[in-house]
Amino acid sequence: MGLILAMAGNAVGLGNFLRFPIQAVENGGGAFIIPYLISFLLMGLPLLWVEWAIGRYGGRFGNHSTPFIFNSLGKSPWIYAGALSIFVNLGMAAYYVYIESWTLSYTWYSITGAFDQLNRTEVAAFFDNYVDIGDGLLNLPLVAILFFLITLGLNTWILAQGLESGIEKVSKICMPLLLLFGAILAIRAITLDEGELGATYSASIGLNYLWEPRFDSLLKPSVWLAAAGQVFFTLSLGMGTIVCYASYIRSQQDVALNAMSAGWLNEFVEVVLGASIIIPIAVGYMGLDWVVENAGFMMGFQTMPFLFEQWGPLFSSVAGLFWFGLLFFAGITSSLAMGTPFTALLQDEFKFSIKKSALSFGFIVGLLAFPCIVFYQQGVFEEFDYWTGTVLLVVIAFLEIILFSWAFGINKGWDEINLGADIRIPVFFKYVTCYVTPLFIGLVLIGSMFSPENGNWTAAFSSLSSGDGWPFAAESVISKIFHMHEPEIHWFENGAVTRLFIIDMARLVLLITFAGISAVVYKAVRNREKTYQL
Amino acid sequence: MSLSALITMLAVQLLVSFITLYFIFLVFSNKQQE
Repeated sequence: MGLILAMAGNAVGLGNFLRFPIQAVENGGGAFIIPYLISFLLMGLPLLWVEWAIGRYGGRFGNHSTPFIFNSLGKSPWIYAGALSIFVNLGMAAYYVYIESWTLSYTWYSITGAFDQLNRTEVAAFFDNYVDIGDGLLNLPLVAILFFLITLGLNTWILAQGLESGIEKVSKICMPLLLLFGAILAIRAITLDEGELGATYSASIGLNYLWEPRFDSLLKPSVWLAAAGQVFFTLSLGMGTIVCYASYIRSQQDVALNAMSAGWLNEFVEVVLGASIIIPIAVGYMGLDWVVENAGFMMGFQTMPFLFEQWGPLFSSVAGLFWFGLLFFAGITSSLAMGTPFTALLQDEFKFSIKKSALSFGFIVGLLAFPCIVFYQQGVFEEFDYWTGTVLLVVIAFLEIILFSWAFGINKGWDEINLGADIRIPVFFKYVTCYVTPLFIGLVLIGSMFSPENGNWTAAFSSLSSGDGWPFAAESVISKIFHMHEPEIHWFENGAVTRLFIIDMARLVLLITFAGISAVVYKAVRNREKTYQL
Repeated sequence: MSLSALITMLAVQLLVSFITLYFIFLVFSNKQQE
């Protein structure tokens, strides 16, 4: 059960409570849930089985890090897909641990009543001041850095205790607390009525928007892209963390049922709890129009403390503790998983002790997080999130499914999934895993590369055929690579560096990190070759 | 809250809850058999 909770803890993260409800609001409310569930069944479930099976297979040969686990199934180039996964986890941990530290500090601020008497604008400004470095580099956000170091230290310390004594133990404490806090907040949120606790509207208006089926959105590719992207993010697919955890299970132990349990537990937290907290409460006080217009990830920090304030000093502290506490628990169980691919590589290939490898992880994440913290307002944080936490997850998942279904072979792969299985998986999923899932992920990948403005593909094709070119959306990969929507075109203006320069430097840091990890993996390969020659 | 929204919400949330509990129950019962 410890492993399932660790796996569920890995999947259950900030995305369940902050990303899912916002994505649902932005993509047609009730219409979103249909492509979301279909993506979960056709892409999420098969990938969960695939990742668990890849991990257990690699573990059978004593491999616990993604490069060598992938290499157990395919030839040498696959090692570098594993290196990419380590890079993604380090890059993600850099900004994810920073967000996690906000949840820790906001728990503290909620308990100490720091938001009491602040109006909505002041609560939003509180966050801006919290992360702002002011006029110069010397005005570092010291409180934010302090909480970040505490959070990073805690992650490093837990990782240093090992999988069973550290991560599994923490998951056994955090997951039940998270469910309890989530259930209390969800019940409070969905029963919030007009006039009660100062609410202007009934929370049911928010629920109505979230759950009213609007089938017209089903024909929009952008909704499908968003739904598939959410499934990736929420199940922690394409990261390699599931693969690493699964490499520690026994070679005959079930993966089919365990993957189902962890995956569905994540869905429960997302669809039942995640959908029932932030949107109903926000609609209750701010109204549906405001929420639809302003919905975003930061609402959890910039708006929720003000809304809790309406519940009186005592209840606002308790609600703040529950809300930010549950976000912290959700965050830490995920960030711990991000440490596993890298620490496993150091332990397996370079004979590092668990403590030394955890410290190395903490050190590198600290270094990578520094630009995210200092240049937060210039978009470095978002740049890290875009490449490591969004695009590359899809790339790695695509590589994984090709490795498993085509390089390793679907027949061997299917036997591997069913080896020691405690449930019988319908054979229909064998064909889904071989054909539908790669196609689905491939479409998501192409869709994210060429995503058009406003998600309007019909208008984009008309524009292309009429010779006006393809109108790339700002968030499309092509647009990002070529800075198509950046207002600046030079690195320096009036003797000062521009935002463009800082973004390009962030990309350089990411490229150097990937090159460094690839070099470490190359060295590990050489070490193995030497050992075999001896 | 409209009836269609209520039905959709209850149907999806109950289905997800039921499936989750069912799989967790299976894990526990298999564990006991071992």
